[in-house]
Amino acid sequence: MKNLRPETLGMLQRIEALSGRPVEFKPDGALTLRATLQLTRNGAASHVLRYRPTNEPLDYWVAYQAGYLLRLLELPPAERFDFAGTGTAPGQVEELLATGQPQADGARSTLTQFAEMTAHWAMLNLRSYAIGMRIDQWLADEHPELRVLQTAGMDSLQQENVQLLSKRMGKMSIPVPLLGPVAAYALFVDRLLGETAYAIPYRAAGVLDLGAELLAILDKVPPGAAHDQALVDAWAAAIGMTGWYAWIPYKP
Amino acid sequence: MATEFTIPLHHFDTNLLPADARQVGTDAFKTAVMMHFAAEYAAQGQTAMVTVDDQEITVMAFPAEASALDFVMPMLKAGKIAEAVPYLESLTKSAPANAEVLYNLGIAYSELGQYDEAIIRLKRAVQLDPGHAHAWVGIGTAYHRMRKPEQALAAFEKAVEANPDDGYTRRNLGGLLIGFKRIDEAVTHLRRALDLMPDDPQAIFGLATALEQLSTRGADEEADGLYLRFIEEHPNSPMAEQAEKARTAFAHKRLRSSAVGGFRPDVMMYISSALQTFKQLGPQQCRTIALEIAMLGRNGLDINDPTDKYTLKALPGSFSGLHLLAIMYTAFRQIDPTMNTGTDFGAEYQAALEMQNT
Repeated sequence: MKNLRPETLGMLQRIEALSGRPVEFKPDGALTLRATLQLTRNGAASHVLRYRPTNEPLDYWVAYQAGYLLRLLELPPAERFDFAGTGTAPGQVEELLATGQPQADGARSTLTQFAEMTAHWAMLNLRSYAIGMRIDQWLADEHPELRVLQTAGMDSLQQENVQLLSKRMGKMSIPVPLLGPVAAYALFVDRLLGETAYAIPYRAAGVLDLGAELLAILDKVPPGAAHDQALVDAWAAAIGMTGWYAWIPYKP
Repeated sequence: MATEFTIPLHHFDTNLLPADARQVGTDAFKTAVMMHFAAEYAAQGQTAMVTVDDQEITVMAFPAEASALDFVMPMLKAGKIAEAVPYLESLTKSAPANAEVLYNLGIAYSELGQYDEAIIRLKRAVQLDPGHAHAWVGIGTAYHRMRKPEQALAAFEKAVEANPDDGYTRRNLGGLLIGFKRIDEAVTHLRRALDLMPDDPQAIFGLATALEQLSTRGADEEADGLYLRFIEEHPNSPMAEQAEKARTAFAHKRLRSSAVGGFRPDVMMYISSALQTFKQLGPQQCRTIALEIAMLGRNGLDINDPTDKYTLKALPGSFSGLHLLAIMYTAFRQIDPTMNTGTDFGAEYQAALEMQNT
């Protein structure tokens, strides 16, 4: 990864120093996400950074991923936890789909499939955006040299997120409360960049109040990594996702 | 950068709208939704284009300093005219005095065959900007498509008045004047159009068509040259075949006019020889030969070149273009005397028959 900026490479070196394991780079043109950084588990020799080689701004995506690992590694080992589903989420989403939707689709299998997909996506977002905003704030505060790339990356994510408002399977669409984290992120980015309009679609979709509530929780909970669990739990309570997941001790 | 998103109607928060506009699906609702987004984005220095249908709301927002049309023109250029219309309609609500938006909306309606809608928008465009020559052309085109030639002509004349140095307006007026048999005027406008747009295929073809109708030797020669240019530059155009036919007609005309009294003894001799050949070979072979010549002549036979440069599989020897044409004429007369071959060698054929019988 000779193309990464020195400051981004510095973050990865810090991960290596804190964990005692190297970061292995794996270009992956088929990757659906922008980049992933998998922390070593079960005695694996290295952390694995997968990235799409043509995905710009790559430094931002790598720095963002590095942020997650650094937050975890900054904690004492006993306080490091993984986030895992309890298996109840799809059923909860099915209930949400049964209310507030214009018509349920006839096929049971379609409902189940959409509920599973939505549950997986909602849990991913719950953790990603709550802690992700901490990381974005850290990048903005500590790494102004990445600001232009960060702005481009956040804009790119906003363009993707706003498409979720119309994501459907048959007549089913994502239940409004589950859009709370992306609405909160839109408000957060508006605030970070100033004079932008990312929140407008979410206001129209009736989810901005929840987004504002989540942002208020973010502001209220102390920003240190030690409070990340509390932050995610508070968001889950506000959205109605309590019990959908559990915190499991991290095993290197 | 533009933002585009869609919200299902049932997700839209109607509390954001005035109380009397919350009935989903009503015109008041649609207008209120458009105004809501227009105001929200305007407050952020952006422009919003909004469409509302029975299922969803689609919003396209972009920085106000960008031209709204910048985001619609790619749709129009890609042929997505029906998709572009709601956005243009949305723009006419947020910018009702924008002649360019009205012009594009009018043209879009015209392309969709909604001529009344088109004319309403285009007339509004020329009210706002009387010098908008292309809007006048749009009005004329819509009337022309409605088979209202008088109104079309008036509009095309307005277009040229608005901008006499626009080749497009000249070309349209010239083309329509051909239909009115005002050929001299048509030639003037089309000639000017070609001056202004030297490579425009329709101006080339239009001027050739007008010149052809003048029926003078000089005009014919100029038209023939223009048709040839058209064929060479646009061989795959559907109009190339028409140009070929016109050129063949010119060649026949020249052939006839170059003979004393219009009678061609050389043709009579070719026909006489062909009659004898067909008599020996029989009708089946006669048809085969005629068909081969017809196939060979699909791109035109060079009947003004006396060189024997053609050969046939069905008949030994080499032939000039005129010779082949005479053989084909003879064959068709033998197969079906009423068939129109596009060539009149009747006098030569009759003389050849008489010569055979003496």
